[in-house]
Amino acid sequence: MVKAEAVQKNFGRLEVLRGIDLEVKPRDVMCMIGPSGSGKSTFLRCINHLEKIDAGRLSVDGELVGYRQRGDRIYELRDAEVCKKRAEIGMVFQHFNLFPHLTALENLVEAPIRVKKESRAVASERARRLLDRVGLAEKVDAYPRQLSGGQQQRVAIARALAMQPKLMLFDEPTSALDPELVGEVLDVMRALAEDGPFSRRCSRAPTLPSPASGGGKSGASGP
Amino acid sequence: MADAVGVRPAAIKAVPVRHPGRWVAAIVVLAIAVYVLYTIGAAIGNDRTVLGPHTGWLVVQRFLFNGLIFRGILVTLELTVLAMAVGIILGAILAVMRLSANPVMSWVSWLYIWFFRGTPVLVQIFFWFNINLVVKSIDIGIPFTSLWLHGDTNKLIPPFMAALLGLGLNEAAYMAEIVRAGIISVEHGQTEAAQALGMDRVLVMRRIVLPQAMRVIIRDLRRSRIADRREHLVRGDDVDPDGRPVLHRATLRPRLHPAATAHTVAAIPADALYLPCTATPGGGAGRAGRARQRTPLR
Ligand SMILES: Nc1ncnc2c1ncn2[C@@H]1O[C@H](COP(=O)(O)OP(=O)(O)OP(=O)(O)O)[C@@H](O)[C@H]1O
Ligand SMILES: [Mg+2]
Repeated sequence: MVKAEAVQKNFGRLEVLRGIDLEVKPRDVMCMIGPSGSGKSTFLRCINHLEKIDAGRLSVDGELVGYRQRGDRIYELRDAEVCKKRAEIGMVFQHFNLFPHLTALENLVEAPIRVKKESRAVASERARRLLDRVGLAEKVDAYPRQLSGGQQQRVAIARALAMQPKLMLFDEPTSALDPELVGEVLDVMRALAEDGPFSRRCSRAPTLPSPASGGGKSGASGP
Repeated sequence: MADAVGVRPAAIKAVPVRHPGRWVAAIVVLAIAVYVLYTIGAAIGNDRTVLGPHTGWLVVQRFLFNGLIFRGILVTLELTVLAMAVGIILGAILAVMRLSANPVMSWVSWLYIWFFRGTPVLVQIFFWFNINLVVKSIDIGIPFTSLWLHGDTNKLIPPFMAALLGLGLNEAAYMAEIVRAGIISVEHGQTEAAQALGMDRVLVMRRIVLPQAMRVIIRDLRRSRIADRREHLVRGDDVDPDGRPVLHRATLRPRLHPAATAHTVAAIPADALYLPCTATPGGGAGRAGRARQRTPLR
């Protein structure tokens, strides 16, 4: 599903990723643990090409991320192609990043309707089911600021799932939450890992809070 | 505590806190208002008071209800609306160009904003007004054929058009900065989350960033409008009570016809016009605006 070979990433003179090798198989769940600033977020962002890698090979589902190989030449993908690839990968952020001007339901249906050109009826139907699944059936019309942190993160997970991704990336999904809210988010993630969402081939690469910065939270290794 | 389980506590009945400060403030404000109104009224009634000779109240009185002033108001309104339309459309385009990944676009927009903000709007209006001195005619067509459109600049750009071009193109530059500030104010995580869902640049801008930027854009717009309407007014009143262009009179013959008088005559209907436009509180900031600001600041 995800294959990294000697992946390197620099920010100017700062070497953030120095030769990462790893492989995630379909339905695998992989966690990355490391101290703050060690490059966990950066690596996840490389997987959906929010960041460009500087050297090495990174592929998802056997296709290079951000590039196309023909013979032994490598071509950069056009914007439209990059977007299409990103649409197949769900991502959940440390700070939720819900769209504050949209309700929970609108957050969920926006991308399916605009990007995948689904009908509003189909998208809403799935969105309601997903919100129900993360335990927020009655918050369908709430705006993000009317939700608690844990509820926001559950909406964010549902928003990523609404695109029916084949791969989910979780970037410290619980580290911005109060300890008593961590449980509800981890429960959702655990349930996802056990009975998978709608796609058979779902693998997840959650990064959990590092022992150095996360304190007591690191014990909850979740899914 | 434990024995209260299951029993609903009674609703609180308390004597509300008194706010004597509010009463004191109200009385002071009222006293000041009465004093100010009285002073102005006395000044108008007696032109030999301190206010009189400076403002020319008697002249104002003579011309305030002259039909020409009202015609001027109409022209001002027309010019304001049209210049705003030009400014908003062109300004939004310039802002997006400025933030574009394409360096040529970004540079062109930067140059435009730099030039139009850097030169006084009056000079720009003069330029369009006198464009005939520089360019006699505008010819558009296909080279080596007889398909050409010919236009005399004096006919293409009458005074009203010159004012509109001057104000509109200038306003676009300011507008571009306002829109850009609005776009930048939206947290980068929003763009990232939208991109991660597979949205392309246009979708991210149109569906996620701009709706949120609108809050800041409208707020800044309201601020800039206040200064703006005064400008329109002096320039938009194309004819003064004597039938001469105000622009001409105010700039070229200040001594013969005290400009202060023309300004005062013009400023009264202007104030009556722009107060209701700018003083509408809250609102208008779209859904995000409504969703956020609810509790008053204390
Ligand atoms: N856009 C950027 N420009 C420059 N440096 C960056 C950028 N993004 C990240 N870095 C640097 O790269 C390093 C890795 O950052 P990253 O966010 O991947 O760390 P992390 O392992 O996710 O840390 P944390 O657990 O605190 O989230 C840090 O030293 C950071 O300062
Ligand atoms: Mg991180």
